[in-house]
Amino acid sequence: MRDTPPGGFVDFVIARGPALHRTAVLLTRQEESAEDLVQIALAKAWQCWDRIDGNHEAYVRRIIVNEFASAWRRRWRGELPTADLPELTGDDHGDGVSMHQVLMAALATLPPRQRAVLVLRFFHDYTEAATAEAMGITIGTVKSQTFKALAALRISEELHEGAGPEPTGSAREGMLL
Amino acid sequence: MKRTLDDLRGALREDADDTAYPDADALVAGARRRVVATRRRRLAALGAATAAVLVVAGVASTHSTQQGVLRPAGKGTTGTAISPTSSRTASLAPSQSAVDARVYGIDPAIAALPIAVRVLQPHPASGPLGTTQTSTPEGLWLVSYPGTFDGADLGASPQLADYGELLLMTPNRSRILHAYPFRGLPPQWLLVTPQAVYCGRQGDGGLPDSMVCRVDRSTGELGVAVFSSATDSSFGDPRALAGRPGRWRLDGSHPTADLQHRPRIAADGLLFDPYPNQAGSRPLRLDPVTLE
Repeated sequence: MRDTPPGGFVDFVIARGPALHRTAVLLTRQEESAEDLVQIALAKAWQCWDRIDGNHEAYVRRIIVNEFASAWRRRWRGELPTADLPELTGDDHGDGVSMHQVLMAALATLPPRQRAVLVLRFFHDYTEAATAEAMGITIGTVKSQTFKALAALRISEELHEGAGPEPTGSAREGMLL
Repeated sequence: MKRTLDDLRGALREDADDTAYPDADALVAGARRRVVATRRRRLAALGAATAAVLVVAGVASTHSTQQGVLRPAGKGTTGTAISPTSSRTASLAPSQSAVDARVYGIDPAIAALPIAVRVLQPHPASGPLGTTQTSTPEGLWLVSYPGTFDGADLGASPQLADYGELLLMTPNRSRILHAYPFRGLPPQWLLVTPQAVYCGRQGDGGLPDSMVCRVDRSTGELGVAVFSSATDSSFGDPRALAGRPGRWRLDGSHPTADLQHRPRIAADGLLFDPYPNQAGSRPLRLDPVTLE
C-alpha cells in the first residue's frame, strides 16, 4: 500500500471532489460529516485505484452511498418520517424558500436508504437500474424505497405514480418528470 | 398545496449549490491519513494473530491428541489447515480454499482474506448485543464481521459492506470448518442448544430487516427467517434471498419483539421478549425447528 496517491488520483479529486462532496452533503445534511464521508470513500478507492474498472466517480459515489448507510446503522436510533409534516398553505405558493426548507427538513428524517435513493434518482438523475447498481439492491427495492420516500415527503401522488413497488403497465420514467 | 418532483429536484439542487467547495488538498490529505491508519491497524491485527498462532502452536505441540476431537462439518473443508510450524506464512494465507468458498456460498474475495482479517468479532462497545461465541465439542461457534477492527474498516472490498457470518472454527481459531454467510443481515447474537445453534439480528436504521437463523448441529443445515421491515425493507422482493445457501424464508409479520438479544428457551419454542418501556412491543414465539 502506498503513502503517495496513485496516478491520476489527485487530478480526479480536484475535478470530481466537489461533485462527490455535494452528494455527501445531501446525504448527511452536514458539511463536516460530508467531508469525512468523502475522505473515507476516497481512502477506500485509493487502495484499489488501479483495479477500478471504468468510471472512478461512480465507484467512489457508490462507496459514499453505502458507507453512509453503514455509518447510519451505528448512529440512527429509530427516527421515523414524521406524520406531522407541515402542509404548505396557499401563502407559501411561489415562496421557494419555504418549500425548500420543508422538503429538506423532511428529507433529513428519512431512513438512509430512502434518502440515498432520492438523491441518486432526483439529484443525479440516475435511472432505477443505475440506482440499484450503485446501492447494491434490486430494482424492485429501488421502486419501493422511492415510493415510500415520496409518500413520506408528500410529493403529489399523481406525479410519482409508477415509482411504487408494483408499478402498473402505465408506469414509466417520463411520468416521474 | 401539492409538492411535486420538480420541487424536490429544485430543493436538492438549491441545497447542493449552497454547499461550499471542499479543498481538494484537504480531501487528499484526509484520504492519505486514513490509508496510513488502515495499514497500521491491519499490521497490528496480523501481528496479534501471528502471536496468537505461535502461542497456540506451542500448546498444540504438547496436546496434539486434542485435535482428534474435531469433526470438520462437510466434505468441502479442505486445504486451508494452518501448520503450526509455518505460522507467519499461514497467518497470511487465505482463510478458505476456493473449493470451500463455493461449497459454503462464500464470496471468493472474502475467502481470500487471511484469518486475522476475516475472523473479527463485534467490538464489545458496539452495543449490548449478547454472546457472539460459544465453544462446543464440534468446535468454536462465533459471529464474525470480516474487515472491521476496533470499528475501523480494513477492507476496501464492497463484498464486505453490511456483511457478517456465522462460523464454526477449530478451538484455536486457526481453521474454518463451516461458514454461513449473511449478506445484508449480519448476526448480532449467538445461542447454542444441544440440538441447534441460533443466531439473529434486530433491524436498525442502516439495515432495517431482522432475522433469526438456526443451524442443526447434527447436519449443519441452515434455516433462516427474515423479518422484513415494514417501512424500509431490502427484502421486499423475495428474489433478494435467492441463491443463498440453506433455507431462507421471508416473513412479513413485522414482529415488534426485541430481536436484538438472545431469546429464552421456553417449553413451546424460542421466546423473544418485548422491548421494555415500549408501548406496542409484543413478545414473539418461534418454533425451535421451523422458526415459524
